[in-house]
Amino acid sequence: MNTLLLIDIFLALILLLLVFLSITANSLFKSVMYFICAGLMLSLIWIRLGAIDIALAEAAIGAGITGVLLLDGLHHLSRKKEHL
Amino acid sequence: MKHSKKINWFLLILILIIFSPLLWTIGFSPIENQINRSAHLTLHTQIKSALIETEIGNATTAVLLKFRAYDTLLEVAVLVLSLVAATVLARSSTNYESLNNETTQTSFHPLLKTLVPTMVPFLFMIGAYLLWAGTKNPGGAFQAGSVWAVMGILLIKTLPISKIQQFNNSSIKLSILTFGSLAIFLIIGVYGNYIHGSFLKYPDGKEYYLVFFIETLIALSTAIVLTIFFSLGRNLIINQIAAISSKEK
Repeated sequence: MNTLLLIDIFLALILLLLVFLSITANSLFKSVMYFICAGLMLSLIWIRLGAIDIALAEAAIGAGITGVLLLDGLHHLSRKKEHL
Repeated sequence: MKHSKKINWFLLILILIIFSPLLWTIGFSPIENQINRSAHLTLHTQIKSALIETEIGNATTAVLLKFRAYDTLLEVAVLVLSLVAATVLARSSTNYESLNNETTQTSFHPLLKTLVPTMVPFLFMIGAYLLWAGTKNPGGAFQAGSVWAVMGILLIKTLPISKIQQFNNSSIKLSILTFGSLAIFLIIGVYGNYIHGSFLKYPDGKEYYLVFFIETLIALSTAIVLTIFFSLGRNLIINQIAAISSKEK
C-alpha cells in the first residue's frame, strides 16, 4: 500500500466522520461548523482527484457562501426566538 | 433547538441500500484503474488535442466557454431568471423606518466591524486573480464570482436594515447588468453564427479577449445575483418584524 492511497483513505474517512458529526451534533451551531469543515475537506479531496477548478468552487461556494448563509440563518433563528 | 439523540435506523439503512452500489463501485475498482480506462483516456486526449487549437490555456475554461459554451449561456440565463423570481417573491411593502421600536435597532458584532474593512480588499483581489488566472490556470468566472459574492454579502451584513431596504429598492439597476451580460453573451454567439456559420464560434485571433470578456461578465453577474439574493432575504425579515410589531400593538 503506498502513502498516497493511505492519505486518500484518511481524507475520505475524515469527510465521512465530519458529515456524520454534522448530522448528529447536538447544537445547530456545531452542525454548521462541522458542515464548513466537511466542505473544506471535500475541496482537499477534489485537489487529490486532480480537479482543482472544482476544489476552488467547492471551497468558495460549499464552505464559504453556504457557511456564511447558514450562520446568518442561525443568527436570525435565535433572534426570532427572542421576540416570539 | 432540541435535537433527538436517537438515530433514525430506518433512514440509515435506506441510505445504505441506496448508496451501496456506489460503495461497491468504489470498493471494487481502484481509482488508478478508473483513470486508465479507455473511455476516460479518450476524452482526456480529445480535450488535450483540441486545446492546442484554441487560445485558452485551461482545459476547464475551454470546455465551459468554447466546447460547451451553449451550456454556460443557459447557465447564465438560469441565473438571470432566478434573479427575476427572487425579486418578485421577496418584495417588502413595509417601510422599515416607520417601524420604530427596539426591534429596529441594529447592532453589529465587533468582529464584523473590524474584519470587514480588512477582508473586503483582499477578497476583491482574490476574486480578480481567480478571474484572470482562469484563462491559463485553474480558476475562472464562477469561482471569482462566488468570492466577490462573499465580499458583497459581508458588505451587506455591515449595513443597517433601513439602508439594505434602500439598496433593495434600487437593486434593479444592478440587475440590468446581469441582463446585459446575458445579452452580450448572446450577441457574441449570434455574431459567431453570422461570421463563421456556427453559433458561439469566436472569431480567430480575438478568442482569448472575447472569452476573458465573457468570463468577466459572468463573474460580475454571479456576484451580483448572489449578493442581491442575500439582501432580498432581508426584506422577508423586515416583513417578519413588521408582523411581530403589529401583533404587539
